[in-house]
Amino acid sequence: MMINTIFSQIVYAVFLVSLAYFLILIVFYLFLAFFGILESKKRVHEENAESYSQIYFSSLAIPVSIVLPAHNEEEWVKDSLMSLLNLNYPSFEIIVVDDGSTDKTPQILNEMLNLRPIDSVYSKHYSSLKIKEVFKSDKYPNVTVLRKDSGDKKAGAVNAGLNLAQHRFVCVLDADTVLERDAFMKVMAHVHKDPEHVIGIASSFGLINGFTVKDGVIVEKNVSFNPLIAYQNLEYIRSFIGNRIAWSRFNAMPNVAGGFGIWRSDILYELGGYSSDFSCEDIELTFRVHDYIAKNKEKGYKILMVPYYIGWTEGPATLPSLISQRDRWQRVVIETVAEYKYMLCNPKYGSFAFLVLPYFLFYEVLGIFFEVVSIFFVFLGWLANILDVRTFLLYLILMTLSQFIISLISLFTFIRGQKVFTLRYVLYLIVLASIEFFGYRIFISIAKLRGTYHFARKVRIYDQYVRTKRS
Amino acid sequence: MGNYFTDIVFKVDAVLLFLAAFLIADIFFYEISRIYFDNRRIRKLQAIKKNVYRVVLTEKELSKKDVLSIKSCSLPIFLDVATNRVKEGVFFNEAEQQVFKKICISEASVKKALSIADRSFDKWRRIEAMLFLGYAGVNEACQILKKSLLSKDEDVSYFALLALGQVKNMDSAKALLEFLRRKPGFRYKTASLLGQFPKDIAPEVIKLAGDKDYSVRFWAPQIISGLNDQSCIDKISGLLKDKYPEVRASACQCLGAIGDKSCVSDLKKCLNDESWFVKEAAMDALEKILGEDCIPLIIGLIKDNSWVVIDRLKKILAKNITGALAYIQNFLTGDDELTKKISIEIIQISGCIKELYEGLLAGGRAKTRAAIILKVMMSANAKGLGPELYSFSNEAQKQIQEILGQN
Repeated sequence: MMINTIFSQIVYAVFLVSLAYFLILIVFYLFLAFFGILESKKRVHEENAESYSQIYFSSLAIPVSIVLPAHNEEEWVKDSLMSLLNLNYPSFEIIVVDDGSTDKTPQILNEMLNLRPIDSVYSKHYSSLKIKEVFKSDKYPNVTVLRKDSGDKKAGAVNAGLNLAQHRFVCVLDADTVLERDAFMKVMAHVHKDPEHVIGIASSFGLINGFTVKDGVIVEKNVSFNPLIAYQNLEYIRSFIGNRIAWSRFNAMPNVAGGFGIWRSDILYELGGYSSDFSCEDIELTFRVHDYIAKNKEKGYKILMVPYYIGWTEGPATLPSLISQRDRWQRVVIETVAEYKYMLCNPKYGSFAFLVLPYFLFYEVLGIFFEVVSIFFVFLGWLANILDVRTFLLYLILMTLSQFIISLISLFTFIRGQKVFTLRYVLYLIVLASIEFFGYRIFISIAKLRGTYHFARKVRIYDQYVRTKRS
Repeated sequence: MGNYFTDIVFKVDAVLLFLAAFLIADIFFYEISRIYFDNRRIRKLQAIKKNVYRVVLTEKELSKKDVLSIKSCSLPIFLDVATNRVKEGVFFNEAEQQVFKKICISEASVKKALSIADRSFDKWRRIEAMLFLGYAGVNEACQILKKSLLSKDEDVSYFALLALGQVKNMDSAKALLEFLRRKPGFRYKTASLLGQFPKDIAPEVIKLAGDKDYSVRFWAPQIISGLNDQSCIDKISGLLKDKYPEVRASACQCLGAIGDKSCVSDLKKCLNDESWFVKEAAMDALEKILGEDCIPLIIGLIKDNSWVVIDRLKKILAKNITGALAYIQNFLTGDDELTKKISIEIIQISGCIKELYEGLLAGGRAKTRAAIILKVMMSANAKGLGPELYSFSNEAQKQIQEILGQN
């Protein structure tokens, strides 16, 4: 009898706590949506009013070094590189880092660029494995290619590129990212406005799966109706538009994503570049930059986020690939939060400490446990006749609705700043979001649990998932 | 207890369901209305553009030269930018703007825009009106724009700056220069806008060179570079002796951009400056003014302490490799290992290995020089010698190998 009472008390307590958790989450997302819409509106207004031709013709246009790391990217590197060569921006150099590719990447680069080996003398400030060869392109004078040993992850490859980068602003990309022609114009306009204070810029990008790309130019934007890709599009919207834009309003951007990010090189220099001690490099560097910003508060440094899509990247098209990718993401989130736990609720770090880190801790890291434990206890409560079947079902509906509403809020914010998807696709996303909890969400939860388990087992590898060939 | 929880969850579910329904309806109606208004907007924009192009191409008072200039500027790149932005009223060359003004800018519309720019409570409407006035080149707007420039709202201030940058008269230039003095945060953008003004603002710009604040003095040469005005050379040369290296480097860059040979002796002195970035800027400037003839002046910097200076020198020498070969030959036959290594790298960057092989086959002095250089490169295991050799016929390859073997 006593045990029964204690058990029912536990079930009720878990029930109440999880109820509170989901409600807080919804309120929090509404709060983010409010500031996200404001920020997004501001950026869109700024974009409409900006004079790009003025930047294009100015002798003072700020040059950018683009670092493109490529490890076995024979399917993607050509499109990515061509999209860079087609960029509508007055001054930039491209440094392609062939990170020990064993496929046809080196041959493709050579064919495209007419490479000529040179004995370059360069700074070795950023740590990376040995650079074996440096090539210059005969065809495109602003392109340099490095060949290095692989084994120090993307971080090492980017660091190798940074050692040869010449300009004050550095853009780091993924080898499967295809940029829009005016991507740099749009992003760098924000830098031109205030190059003394803007030290980092993140941007949104969508999934390229289903698009027809020819020589780096997107010929047709057929957004994929494959549910797996559509769900990822929804997730990108939740992540980029649902919360990051609002974070940037508080100068608390948690992640300048590796798919496209711009940093000021003097800051990277002081921080020593990317670290290969983590499963993934981008979140950790962003956290480190926030630490730097807090330590140099008087300088008023900012990390911005532009809400419009400036490029497209390849997303996993199969379940195993998706789980593998999310496993890595979960690991890196936990690794980074564990590494920078001292920032949590530390007034020195401002909004980052009071908004972003608690969100990361309670939603990204511990959220999965809240969900699993609460479902488990409510289920047990039903089995033990503490809760009736109606309550159990209503509880499941609550979890589904809370997830659904978060997606709708993000979509609501997204469509106000973007004209990327057709009405049909938006409606399709709404339908998918309504049933997410019973399908896609389960796989993501499995991936998150796997990531957490791998974190505990100290797995720190950068495992590249298998990608499908582009049409 | 169980019923109590059921009630709570039921009520929460009901609220969430209502919220979801509201959001779905909002998303749906927003999308529908957006599609409708976007299509209407695009149709309007296309009509405006069509009219402008029709008038531009048929307007009698427009000269043939104007028409040609429009054609030459209406490359896909500009059309792409213009149409992607879907922004009414912005055209990117003077003739288009003139015709656009005739078609679309009436006295009433200017009056309305002036009133919005001055009084609207919606800041983005104000900004839109300011930009309209700027692109339309309305001189009367200068007062309002100057006032907005000093607004506490950074967006209003920034876009007033852009609008003034489009007006391009003396009045707007003076306002921008004053703003540059006052607001350190926007100096970069202000200078870049002023660099695209007509040359006649140069006397006003050069006044910055006498400012007490070195960070203001820095911008005078930067703006003059954009204007490319030769009348300011003396004052800019005076800045080469400034106390601050940033200002000296900026002056070097400016003199390089203007490209007048009278400043070579002053720039030469800067090659011995204590600061690496002044030396770098001086080298660049000399290369811009003298081209290949700058090599005797700058070659000594190959032994400089700064890696950046050497790197810049490498690039200049690689670019002007024909003139540099005699010096490189000396370095390669010398004892200094570092200069030898740098020389090899210069040859590789310049891509002249094929020319050296051709020199070997040509005979005479070219053959001797090429043999010396290639031999040193071979002994240093330099990269890139093999691939270039394979571009020659088998017979020529054999001949080259024989010459290098004999030498």
